[in-house]
Amino acid sequence: METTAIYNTGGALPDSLAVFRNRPCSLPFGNPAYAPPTPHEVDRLIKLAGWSQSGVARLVGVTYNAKKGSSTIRKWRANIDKDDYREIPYSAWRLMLLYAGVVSIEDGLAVGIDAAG
Amino acid sequence: MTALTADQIATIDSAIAILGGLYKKQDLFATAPDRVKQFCQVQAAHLEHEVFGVLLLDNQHQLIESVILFRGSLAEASVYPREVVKEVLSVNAGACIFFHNHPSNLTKPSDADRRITTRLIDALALIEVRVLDHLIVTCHGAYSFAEHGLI
Repeated sequence: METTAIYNTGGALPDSLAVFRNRPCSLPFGNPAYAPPTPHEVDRLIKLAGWSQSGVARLVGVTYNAKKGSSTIRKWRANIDKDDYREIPYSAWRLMLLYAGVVSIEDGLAVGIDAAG
Repeated sequence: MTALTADQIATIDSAIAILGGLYKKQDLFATAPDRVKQFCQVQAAHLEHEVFGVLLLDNQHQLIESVILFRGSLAEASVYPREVVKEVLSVNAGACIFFHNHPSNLTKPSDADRRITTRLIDALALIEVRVLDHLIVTCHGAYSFAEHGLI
């Protein structure tokens, strides 16, 4: 599979959920142009969707505390150079994109399943 | 705008030829907005009417061809997604960058600019062609939709 070049826009973040659709991080995992979201993109999606930290934790199924929020979600949004940063798993990220209405099940199925496996 | 002299037009033409040659020699790839802005500015910023063009790129973002698709009047140019898709498929492009000029020299995108960008992105997504950017070029600068989070 051929890798695809990146168009570097200096970390500009989408100003609406509709713009997220055209981002490399919103492509299905099997698409060669897919790129994992940066923590800033994770943060921006949560903000644009208007979700709370606990709300996101409930949506993607990670532990949270009603008062303190979710440390897992916090780590996904932390700066990459911070010790507590963790890369968000594709499955959790995709679920967030689905709930936010950025992508559809069909988008993923189109390239997600094929005979070659 | 003052009319260009024959010498100035010749200079612009040779600049376009030089930049086009660089892309074809694989020395230049569309990897970030800066150089793409220059390329599009040289092509369209000096015109007194609006034009809408597209840079057709391969998967590695190397320029295949730069095409002016539509020509308009002073303040607008009609853009038809069908014609864009035809052009993109004709060279088997994997990605593209749109550009148009604002003869007023104001780089701010209009609501119509945003709407047509969304329509084009949706139309091209169906044939798995990515839209990397949409540039508005003037003599004084260029505006990148991608740099402002609009793409």
